[in-house]
Amino acid sequence: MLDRALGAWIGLRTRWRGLALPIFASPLLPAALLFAIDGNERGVTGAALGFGGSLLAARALRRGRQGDSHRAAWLMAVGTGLSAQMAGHLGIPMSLIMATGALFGTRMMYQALPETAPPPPPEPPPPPPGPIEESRLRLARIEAVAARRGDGKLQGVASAMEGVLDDLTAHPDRLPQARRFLTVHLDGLERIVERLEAGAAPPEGLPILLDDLATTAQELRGRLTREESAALDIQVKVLSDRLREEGFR
Amino acid sequence: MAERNVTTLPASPPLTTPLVWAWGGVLLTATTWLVGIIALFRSIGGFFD
Repeated sequence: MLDRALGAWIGLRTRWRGLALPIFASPLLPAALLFAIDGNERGVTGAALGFGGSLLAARALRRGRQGDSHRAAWLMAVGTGLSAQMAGHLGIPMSLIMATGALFGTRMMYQALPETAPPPPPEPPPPPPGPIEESRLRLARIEAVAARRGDGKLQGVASAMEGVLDDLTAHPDRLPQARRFLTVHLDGLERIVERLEAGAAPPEGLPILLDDLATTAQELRGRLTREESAALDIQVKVLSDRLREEGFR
Repeated sequence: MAERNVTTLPASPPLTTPLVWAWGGVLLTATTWLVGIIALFRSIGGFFD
C-alpha cells in the first residue's frame, strides 16, 4: 500500500521535476531588477547568473537522462555560489558553503526519480564507394543502356572494361596503373552513351572508336598481367641467385 | 524439475525517500532561496546608501 503510494508520488514528481528550482531562485529576479535600477552591474550579473543557473538546472532535470540530476546539482551550486558572492556579498567562505548546500539539496530533492539511459550514438554513415565500386556502378549504367539499345559494340566495350575491373578487384594493388585508363575510358564512354540517349545519330567513326576502346581495355589487362609476370620472373631469379650464393644449389 | 521464472523487478526506493526530498527542499531553502532574499535586501539597501 505504502509502496504504491510512493510509486504514485514518484510518478507525479517525475512529471513536475525541476520546476521548483527557479522558484527557489525567484527572489533573485526582483533583486536583479532593483540592482539594475540602482546601476549596480555586479549585483545584476550575480543575480542573473544565479537565476540562469536554476533555469539551466531545471532544463537538465526535465530532460531526465542518466546523470542529468548530477549536472543539475552542479549548475545549482555554481549559480548559488556566484549569486551569493556577487549579489549577496557574502564572502568566499560563505558562498562556498551556500554552493555546497545547493549541490546536496538538489541531489537530495531529486533522488530516486527515474532517469532514462542516453540514446545510442548515431550510426556512422557508410563509407563512400571505392574507385573500383564507383567505376562498376558507372559501367552498370552504360551496360544497361547498351542492352536496351541492342548495341553489340557498346556491349563489347563494356564487357572488356568489366574484365579490367574484375582484374582490379582481384588485384587492387594494380589500381594506380589503371586509374588513368578508367577515368579516360569511362568518362568518354559515359559521354557517348549520354549523347546517344539524347537522340544523337551515331557518327561513322563511332564503331572504330568503340573497337579501339575494347582493344585498349584488353591490352591493359594483358599489360598488367605481363608486368605481374615480369615481377615474378625477377623474384624467381633473385631467389635462385640467393640459393646459389648460400650454397644450397 | 521445471525451471522457475526468476525475473527480478526493479527494487522500489525506500519508504524514507520523501524525507530525503523534504531535507533537500530545506537545504535549497536555506541556501538558494536565502541567497536570493539576501540579494533582494542588498538591492533595496543600495537605494539608501
